[in-house]
Amino acid sequence: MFKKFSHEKIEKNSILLLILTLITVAIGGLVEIVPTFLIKSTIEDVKGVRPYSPLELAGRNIYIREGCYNCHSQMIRSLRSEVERYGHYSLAAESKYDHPFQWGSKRTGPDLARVGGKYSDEWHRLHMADPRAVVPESVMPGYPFLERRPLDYRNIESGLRALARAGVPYDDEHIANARADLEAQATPDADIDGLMQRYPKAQARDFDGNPKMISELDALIAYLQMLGTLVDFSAYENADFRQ
Amino acid sequence: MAISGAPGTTPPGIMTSSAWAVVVALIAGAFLFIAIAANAQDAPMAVHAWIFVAAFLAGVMAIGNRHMNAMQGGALADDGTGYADGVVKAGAIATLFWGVTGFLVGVVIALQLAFPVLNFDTDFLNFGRLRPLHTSAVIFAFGGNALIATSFYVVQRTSRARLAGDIAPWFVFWGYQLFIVIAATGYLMGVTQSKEYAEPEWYADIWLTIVWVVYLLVFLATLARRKEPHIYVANWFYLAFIVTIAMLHIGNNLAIPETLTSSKSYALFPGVQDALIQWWYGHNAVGFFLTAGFLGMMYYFVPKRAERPVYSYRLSIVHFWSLIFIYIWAGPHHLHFTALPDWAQTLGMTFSIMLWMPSWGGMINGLMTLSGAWDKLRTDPVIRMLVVSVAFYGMSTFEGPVMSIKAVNSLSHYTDWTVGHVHSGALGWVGFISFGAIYCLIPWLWKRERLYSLALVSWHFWIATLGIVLYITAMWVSGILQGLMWRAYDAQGFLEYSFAETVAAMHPFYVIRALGGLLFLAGALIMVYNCWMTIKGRYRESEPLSVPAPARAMPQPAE
Amino acid sequence: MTYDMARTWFGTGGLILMVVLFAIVLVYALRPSNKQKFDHLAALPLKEDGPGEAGKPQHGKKDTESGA
Repeated sequence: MFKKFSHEKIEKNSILLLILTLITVAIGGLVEIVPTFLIKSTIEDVKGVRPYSPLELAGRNIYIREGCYNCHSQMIRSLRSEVERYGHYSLAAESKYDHPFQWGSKRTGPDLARVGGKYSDEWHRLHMADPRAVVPESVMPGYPFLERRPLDYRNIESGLRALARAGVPYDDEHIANARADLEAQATPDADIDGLMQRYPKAQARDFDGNPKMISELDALIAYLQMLGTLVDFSAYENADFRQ
Repeated sequence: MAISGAPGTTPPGIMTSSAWAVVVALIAGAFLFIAIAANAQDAPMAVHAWIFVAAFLAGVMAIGNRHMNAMQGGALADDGTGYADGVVKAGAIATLFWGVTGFLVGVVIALQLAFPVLNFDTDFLNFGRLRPLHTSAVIFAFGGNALIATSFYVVQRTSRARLAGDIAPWFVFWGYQLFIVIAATGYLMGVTQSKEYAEPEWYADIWLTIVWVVYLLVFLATLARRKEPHIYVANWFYLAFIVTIAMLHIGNNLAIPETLTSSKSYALFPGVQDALIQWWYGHNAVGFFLTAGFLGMMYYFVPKRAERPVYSYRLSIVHFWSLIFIYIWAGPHHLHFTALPDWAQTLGMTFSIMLWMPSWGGMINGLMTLSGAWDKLRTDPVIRMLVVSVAFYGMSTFEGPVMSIKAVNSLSHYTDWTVGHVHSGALGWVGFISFGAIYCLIPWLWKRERLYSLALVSWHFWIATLGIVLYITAMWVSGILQGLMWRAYDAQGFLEYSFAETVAAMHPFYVIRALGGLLFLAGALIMVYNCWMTIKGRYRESEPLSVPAPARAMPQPAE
Repeated sequence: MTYDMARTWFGTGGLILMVVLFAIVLVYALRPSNKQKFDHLAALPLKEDGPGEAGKPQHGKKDTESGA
């Protein structure tokens, strides 16, 4: 076989070179990526993880728009010092509805995978307006414009629909109620029965201190305050997770 | 596209039937984007749609103009040698322009990290939006233009064939610039997929796919009409770069748009799969864009400038196949200790360590090509730049496998060490090899005897080298320091430092890093001046004539 | 498919594939009969001709040290 094999043909035929190169580079990707879809144990079986509520999703889109992922990870590694600093290491299941993922690659600021509930809404409000007012050492940009801008959620149904197409379990009821759910979650004393039933553990209140308007800051804080709060880790032993 | 038309049948510029097809397609595209602009769901989409319309109409006018000129017998700028060099010239200038832009934005964001007040509390100038602008400008705008321009030059010379197509190469060039403009303006308006180095949204991705396929076809068609029996190894690297980037780009950008008139999309795959695909892409963007492509550049410009044959052609074959096979597996080393399955992490680490060898195969071949011509290091600052770039390549491809070891990675990941590693590759390897190639190309393309000033090249070299050294040493120290602070325990067994304290400790290194970047930018500005004067046909007289002439024995005074 | 099976199959398969590929490339690269061709290719960038012209080395000196 080796004797018949002629590299000369490859060197002389650009299409052959192209195809062999493509096969060579495709192998590694296929071998590594395809199994993560096929192997069930890739994503742990834990209770509590649910799709984002419309307000949280809108907040997540602002998080992405402002490039927060450039400096904040959302992935606590299974290392002692990280677990002690940030909480239980992140499970694959916790990002199973994340399109796209937000694990990040750099911690110019701290990890945010479990930032939910760590600080008050008021703290977030001050911090977003002027980070150095609450953390003098911070190098984070200020985002004072977020609380001034009304949230644009005209397309929230299209957002849920696109995510449903990608496999997130939003059904017709979620999509039909998207706008109402978004408004209810950011409005004090609204009727939130439907919201809570569709999105268990959702936190509904006025997040930005200004009940008159649903601002971009409302959405962003709603998103930050739910991060890492969905899985009740007291119900599991570490051995329950494949690691 | 007029790709496959037999050479010499129609003079360049005269419109063939395929050129008419391009015009029709551009006009149809303009109408499509007018419709999108009219129904745009958000302001960025409207802005981008109008940019597309303007660009397409400009394209129609340019093709028409070219036709009119050719009809009147006007000589085309690129027609002196029989090679299509006009598009290479444009690419060389674009490389310089985007290089300076990308370095400038880099200095700005480095200063923002050192002095956060420089974010000015705005949306469009905050770090989060400027950082992808910086990375895309240097990787895709600077690096991409350097690769497209040199690949078009090299494939013609080593095939001894004119570039295939008349409009097609120009379509690749301008189409690529359009992609850059859409991407860059998008970042400033907050349009991003948030996938690092793949931030442009779905419609920019589709446009790039079209441009890239034409690029591949032009390259293949040029190879197909070559007069040399064999395909030179530089073209293998260029081809691997083009085809693999196509595969990675499509794979990583699969997304579902909110609507067809919205600038927002959602990634097709979720969480862990999305992360793995992203770093399969991200790592191989390094492997095939920033490595394979630039190795193609090395395999032409180093032998050419040194006037020596490739040290070992056998080695080039072996390291080509091992490099492209091994690189593609290494991506998961970006996800150590994460929720990615352990087996994938281990595979990624193993292949990353193995990658060291083919990488150094390339380095050895590049360096040893100078054997017998080492004296040129003293006399020719362009050669010095090329050689030092290969040395930086060797350094960062040693550092990379080290950082992929899980124990090292547990310290280095999420810190500035990674940033420093990237920049030793980007500034040292990609930057210097491109500078060297452009310094070669400018006099060759504009038919100048030599560069305006070799002394200025030398200044560029030393200033930029000092900048790189400041940059990467600052990042080593800050990265390792912060990594150690994050895991430091006090005597009672508690974590010793709050996160904020570790941020404060970074400040001096962020200042040094910004200074390093500023020096690198200053060097690039010197280069622009030098190239500009060369193109204008000026020669600086005060220095001894040097290089290409091998007869010259007088050593230059040391700079 | 279990995790262990996948790990074994993909790990081993990848290794075998790589070794075979590497052997093929190595055999080709080291075959003495290819030496002349490689020497020609190694000097290809040094030839300076227009499109379609036969290649002649710009610097005729043949380098016997290269390609070792």
